[in-house]
Amino acid sequence: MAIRVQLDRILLERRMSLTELADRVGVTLANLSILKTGKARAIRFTTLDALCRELDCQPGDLLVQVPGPQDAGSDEDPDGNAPGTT
Amino acid sequence: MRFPKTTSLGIRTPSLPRVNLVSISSVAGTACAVAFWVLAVGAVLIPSAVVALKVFGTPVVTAGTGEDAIVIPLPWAYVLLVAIAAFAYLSVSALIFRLLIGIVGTLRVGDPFHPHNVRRLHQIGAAFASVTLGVWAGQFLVARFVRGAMAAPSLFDLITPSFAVVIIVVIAEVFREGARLRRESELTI
Repeated sequence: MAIRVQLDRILLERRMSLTELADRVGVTLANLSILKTGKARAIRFTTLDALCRELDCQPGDLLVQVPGPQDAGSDEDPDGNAPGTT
Repeated sequence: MRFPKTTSLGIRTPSLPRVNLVSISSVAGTACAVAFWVLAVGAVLIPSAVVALKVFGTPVVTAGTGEDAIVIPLPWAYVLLVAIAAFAYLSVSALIFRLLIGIVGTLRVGDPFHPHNVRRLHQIGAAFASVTLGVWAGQFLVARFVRGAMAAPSLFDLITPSFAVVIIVVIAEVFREGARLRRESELTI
């Protein structure tokens, strides 16, 4: 995807775990993992606001636009299941 | 001109029960389950009864009328053809209701645009088309080879079932788009 979420880097800088961030933001760990691994299709403003508040950063610190070809949803399996889910 | 309200006349209109989606799906699910079991049991019992009638009884067919009439025992080929046709018709019909039960199940849990429903709807369309064509072909063959049994079916008889199959296929594609939107929604954090 052309938008990269730099959650790993900021969590490392803030010395926070993904689990702790999930508890603070009110998003499940599974969903945060989807966001971290770049599989998310979209992010709500409310989620972005909560992430920036808890990580004390700006949206531009979290989201980076990477120039290059966009994938057309090729991470879906034939049954339409989300990646990493059973 | 203003009309008086009904309550002032002492007439109370009965309040109709609200029918929500859950109750409709429950009724539909129950109806599909009953239909499935009736057809499934019939698919076993009716062909067995037809074969048993030949084995233990003396089914005959009468050709001609009056003094010239001749009675001949029903050939095994006819008996087996009837048994196989009955089994095929009832079992495919039971399959359609089995697939509908699966769709209603996803509706009950509030997830109707599950990707499996796309496959189920396509299978329902294919089963419906095969039942329709099979019945039409069976009627055509009986009319062709068994004189006087029934009138030959017309191609116009296939028009309405064809519409039904097309509608099912279109609805399946609508569900495919719904499954895609569901997936997008799942991946919206």
